[in-house]
Amino acid sequence: MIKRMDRVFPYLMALSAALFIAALTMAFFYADVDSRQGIVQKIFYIHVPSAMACYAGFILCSVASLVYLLRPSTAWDMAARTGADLGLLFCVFVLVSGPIWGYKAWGTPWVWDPQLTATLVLFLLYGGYVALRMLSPNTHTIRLIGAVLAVFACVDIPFIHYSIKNWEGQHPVVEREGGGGLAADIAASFGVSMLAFLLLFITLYWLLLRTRLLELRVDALHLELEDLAISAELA
Amino acid sequence: MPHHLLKPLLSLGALTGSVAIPALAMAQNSVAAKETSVHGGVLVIITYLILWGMIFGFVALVMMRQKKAAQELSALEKRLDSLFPEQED
Repeated sequence: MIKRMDRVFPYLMALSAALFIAALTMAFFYADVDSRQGIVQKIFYIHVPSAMACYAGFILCSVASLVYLLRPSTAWDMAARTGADLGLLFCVFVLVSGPIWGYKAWGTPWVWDPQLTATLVLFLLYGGYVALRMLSPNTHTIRLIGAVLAVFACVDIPFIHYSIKNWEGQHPVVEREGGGGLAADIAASFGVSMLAFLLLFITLYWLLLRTRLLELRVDALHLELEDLAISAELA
Repeated sequence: MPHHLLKPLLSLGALTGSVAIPALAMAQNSVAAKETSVHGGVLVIITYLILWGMIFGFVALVMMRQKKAAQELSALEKRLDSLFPEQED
């Protein structure tokens, strides 16, 4: 699996870069300027896919954590940590790009809308997970605590998604229930952008996971070498 | 000039604020636009720069970690050679 992924990785990276160029070109030169929001609507092409990438990272983290709780193994723990790191990266961007758009569209960068508040809570929950794993020793107990936290934090994701439906709020609804839909040029640009972010997410995920596996191997080699050194001295 | 050729130029103009296209003019007259003084194009550029900054920053951090791991590997190799010099190729 690792070797196969390593072989595919350069192509994945190239495809991701090409799709990003296409997404940028389509967002700025193909899709029309929105008549209600103006040019600031172009933020939508990176804000929404980032939110999806953020969900993907956090869901991966929670699923891998759940598997870790059932069958503890270093690989699942690493998969969970990598998902949380990437999810947090995209979550930070969502929480930065959203207020920038809101500043122009609403006249204020932040409102305590259910969806925005739930996203902030999600950031705090997984931020807590990442901080716990970064600042604590990598013991089995800490891994278990982290896994339980990640599984519980996942509950917030459907809450964000359905909050707008159940409690309304100011956050725009485009494709989901109640939204006005998208024009063909905007929908096509948005689709390419989503695909570009999906590939970017997979690329970055594999890059970070591979680095973690390498670090793990180096640590194991350190221990093996020390054992060998002791054996050599005794002999 | 055909519309499909004009569109990219209009988008660029809208981004920099130098061209007033009908849709943008409508948007600029909206209540939201009147409440803020910063041009939408500036906000869009800032947002895209932040995204690329974060992605490249992340990749740079991962590359630094890979470099560190590679250095540790070569240090381990040297230590292994010093422990078992007779097994060198």
